[in-house]
Amino acid sequence: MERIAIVAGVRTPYIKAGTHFSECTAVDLGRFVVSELIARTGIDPDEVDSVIIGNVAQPVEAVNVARVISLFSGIPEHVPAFTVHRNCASGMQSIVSAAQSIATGEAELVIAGGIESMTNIPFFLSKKFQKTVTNFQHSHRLKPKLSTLSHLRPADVIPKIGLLLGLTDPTCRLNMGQTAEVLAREFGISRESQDTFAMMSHQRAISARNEGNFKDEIMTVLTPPKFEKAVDFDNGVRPDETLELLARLKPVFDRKYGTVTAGNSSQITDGGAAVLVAGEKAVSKLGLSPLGYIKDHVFTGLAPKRMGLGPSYSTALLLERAGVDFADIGLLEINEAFAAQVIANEMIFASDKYSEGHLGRKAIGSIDREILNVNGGAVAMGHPVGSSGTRLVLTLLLEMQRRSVDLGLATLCVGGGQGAAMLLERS
Amino acid sequence: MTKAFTMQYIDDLAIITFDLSGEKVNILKRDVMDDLERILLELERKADSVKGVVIYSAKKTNFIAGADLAEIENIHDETGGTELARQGQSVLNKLAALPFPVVAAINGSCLGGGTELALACRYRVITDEPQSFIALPEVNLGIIPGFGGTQRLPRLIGIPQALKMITTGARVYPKKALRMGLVDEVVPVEHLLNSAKRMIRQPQTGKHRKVFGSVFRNPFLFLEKIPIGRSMIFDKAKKAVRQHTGRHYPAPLAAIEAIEYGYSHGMKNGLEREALLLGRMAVTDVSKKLIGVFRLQEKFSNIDRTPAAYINNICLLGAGVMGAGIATLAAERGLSVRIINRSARRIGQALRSLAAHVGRKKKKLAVTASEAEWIQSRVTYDTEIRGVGGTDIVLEVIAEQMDAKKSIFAEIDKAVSEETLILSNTSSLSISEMAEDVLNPQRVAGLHFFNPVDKMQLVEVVKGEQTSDATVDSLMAFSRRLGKIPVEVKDRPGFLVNRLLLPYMNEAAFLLEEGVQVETVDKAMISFGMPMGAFALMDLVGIDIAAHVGENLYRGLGERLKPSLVLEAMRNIDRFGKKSGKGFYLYDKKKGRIADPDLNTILAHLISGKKSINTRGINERLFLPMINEASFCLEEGVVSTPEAVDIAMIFGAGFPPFKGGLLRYADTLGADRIVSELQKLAESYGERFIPARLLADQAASGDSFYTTQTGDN
Repeated sequence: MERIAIVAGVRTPYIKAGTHFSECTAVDLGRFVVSELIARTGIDPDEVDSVIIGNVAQPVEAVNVARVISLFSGIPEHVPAFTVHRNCASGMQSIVSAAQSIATGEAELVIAGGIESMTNIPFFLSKKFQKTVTNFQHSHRLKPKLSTLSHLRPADVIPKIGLLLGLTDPTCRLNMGQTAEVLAREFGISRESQDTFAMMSHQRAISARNEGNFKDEIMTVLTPPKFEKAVDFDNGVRPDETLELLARLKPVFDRKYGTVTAGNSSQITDGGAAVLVAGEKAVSKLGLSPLGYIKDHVFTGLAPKRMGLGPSYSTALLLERAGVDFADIGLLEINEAFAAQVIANEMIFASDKYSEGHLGRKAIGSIDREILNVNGGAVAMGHPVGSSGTRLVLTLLLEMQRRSVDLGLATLCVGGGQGAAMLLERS
Repeated sequence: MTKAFTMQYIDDLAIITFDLSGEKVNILKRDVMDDLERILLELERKADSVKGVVIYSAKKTNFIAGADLAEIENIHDETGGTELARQGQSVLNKLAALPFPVVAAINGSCLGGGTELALACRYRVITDEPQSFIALPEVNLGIIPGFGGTQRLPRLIGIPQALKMITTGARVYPKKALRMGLVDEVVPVEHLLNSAKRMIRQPQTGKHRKVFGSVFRNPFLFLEKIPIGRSMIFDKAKKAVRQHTGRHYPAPLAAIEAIEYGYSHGMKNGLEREALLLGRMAVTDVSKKLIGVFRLQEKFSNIDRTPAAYINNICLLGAGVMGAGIATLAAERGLSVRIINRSARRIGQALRSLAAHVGRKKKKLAVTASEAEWIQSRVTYDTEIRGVGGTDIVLEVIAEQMDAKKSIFAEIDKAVSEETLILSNTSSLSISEMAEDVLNPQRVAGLHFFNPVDKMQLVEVVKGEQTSDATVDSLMAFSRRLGKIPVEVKDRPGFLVNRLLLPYMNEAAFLLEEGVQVETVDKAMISFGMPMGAFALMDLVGIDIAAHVGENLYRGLGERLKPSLVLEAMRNIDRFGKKSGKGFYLYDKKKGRIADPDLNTILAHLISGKKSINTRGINERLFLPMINEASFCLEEGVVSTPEAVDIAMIFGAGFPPFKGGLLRYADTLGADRIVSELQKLAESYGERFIPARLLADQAASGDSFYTTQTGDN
């Protein structure tokens, strides 16, 4: 089968919801990265065969947001586009879908991206309100119109916050933070270890920035509508973060006994990322020099209430499938949805007991933190859900280049009880 | 007799198709009008069986382009023009008097006489195609609408709107036309005939034309219903026209007169007045000159060279005022634009000015909200040279320093592909020198836009020593795509426009040294017809920039262009002009440009005495060196024809079009007089006035610029 290359990629800074990108739509974030990717790779947009965008909270005013982004990015009308959704792995799904369409011969050159504007997730009105409005419109005389309205109660017009609805699992009725609390309880993960992990994430992000590691990864965005603010780095990263400050925060999801706080969880963030995916044929035809190649990937399912363990479940399967020894992996990215959740995975990776219980196998191998999320993670940078999968692959490939590492792993937990993992090789 | 119209009966409707054979557009020539009359007579006879008439054009992007320019050009006595108008009016009166509804079904451009024909119809429907618009551009050719336009338009859309359309010649696009009540419906092209038929079958009450809330939008609507209100409106319009045209253009005032007369003496007399005034306007020198400029413009816009490269995107190095202007223009024309500037703040300013420009167009209904979004989405940017590998054109718009330009060219050379055209927007530096360190210098050229980019139509395409013909061809075609008028110029200091402007600005500064007031000079220039005075121009361009260009020209061309010390002195005390709030004038946020009473004191060390000079003297001091320099340019082959000089000075420097251009103006003076005046000036003020050989030869042989013109551009 044809090998699939990731040629290049770029992302916006990840910006806390409601701040600098509050006037940007999901479409804006998408076109920023896609048009920048086209410019930086120098490809003729006409050569692109397909555009695939991962997005979780798909905007109602731009359904099939991928198509809208594609056109506004200057990609010709004849190039098709579609949107994919696999919750937090939507960005990675877009890369997998791109790879699959190349493998089947449908395409040679694909732009795959992940975007999320969590700022713009709408508020919803109650079902009763919706019904009332519909009835009001359908009745043609004044009296029934008024009588329809008279049934409305104040509570019916209080909006529901879409973001919270989206972050709650409808099958187990836990929100994502509560699933992290489940893991913290079951694995006995202390508040201190979570805060220490969070601290590490911030520190790594800062030193990575200082060393210029994000120079090729993050584009500068001048924020509409005034274009006065130029953002070139993730504003969730706190240079003045200390363990003391982290310790002061109250648990959010279990206020009495919980350990998961806003400080040791990923942040609500807006951002976009895109990569250029190409088959080997396109690589040689267009004379591209790829960052790396996709070796294999896996998506798998598990209990929704323990969705945070997705990386363990998917990695175990992936290594088996690809016949790769864990020891050969030189660099790891595990998405930091919650510090507790990453630590729980570390424990499964390292322990025969946990592995036996969860995966029905011996331990995969303990993770060396020196090769884990070396440039920081979602706790510091934020987690624009549909975008993080793309960022993980991009940041991993760029670091593999810097360190001359041949084999890397990017993996995420996925809301709803799934795991996603992808093996990337440099040559 | 020309057969332009064909009529076809479908049921009880008559469909008239206008298709002038052998022409790209439909023109209302004299014999075409005769043909129309024949058709109208036939219709009059069929009044019993015909229920309605539709007039439409078989041309793809044109309804009717108006009257025949050649016929107007050939009018040499007033009665000829009046007769032409009367004849047209009589035909259109017949059209208007038909006892059944007539619909003008407009697709594409509807201009001049075409618009007047449409106005004589009971209804007008127009397609929403991008090429569809309606205009009465007569005043731009120094004449007025003569087929009843000055009478029918105000009665249809109200006096103020009609005045605006007629005195500016501005285009009205479909949506706006509907809102103004100029058309009755805007439809997709496929429904044009359906719409026309609907107008006939379901006679419109006229209510649909009254835009909802128009009284609220225009609370002074009642004014035009009463004589005193109308006279207020007309007075205001006259004042505006005088202010705008500086009394040099009689046509807009004549148009107002015709409209006013029609209201005070009735339509019939109004039509007669319109015909008389058309005759009067058509024989003016202004009209002849404007038609000449129009033809020149057509000639320079008609680029038949095929572009060697198809250009899809452009990268701008630099995001100053010029960069922002060019970025906006390119994005509007559908190109992908990449802006590179070290300062993100500067890029932000450029994006903001683009957004503001698009916002203004949106307000004017010139673009839709979606088009506005499209335009803005075409721009990407970076704070370093990156992402330029796939770019077709790189254009630098950085500060005017040779070293900086050379080094950015060397840098960009490595980042782009070998086919990428590498261009400079420099106004005076040598393109050939800039190209020295570039790998394939044949793709290096100058592409010099003028400020403000959206208003100035000229682009100088500068051919360096090594620039290939293919590169020049591509740039000529590219400039046309941007809607500009390109003029190819040789890589000599200042190219054409700045080289001719410099002696002009310089002489103004010398006059200041000799003790003439800034305002006196500028007033003379305004009354000559220049859009602004020489000092006001320097303030606008930036005195630092003018001084810099001056130094470059002095270095490259020698003593003749030695700059006045005034520029240097002003620069040294940070009086840069409008941008710094102080130049030869003071710039106040509220009051705008005001005279500076202290200027002469500040420059006292340079000013010797107090000189009095009349307007004619000032004109000679400023324009004769300009003409002289143009002669040197022709000798050196900076451009090859006087036409190129004229088109460049009109569209790049605002030289008054009613004079036909700088060298047309020179020809009206005569080489004899120019040379003798220059010699006199040379005796009094120095060798810089010594006439060019070309001028001296003309004076000796009795030739002029346009008679000695050999070959074609």
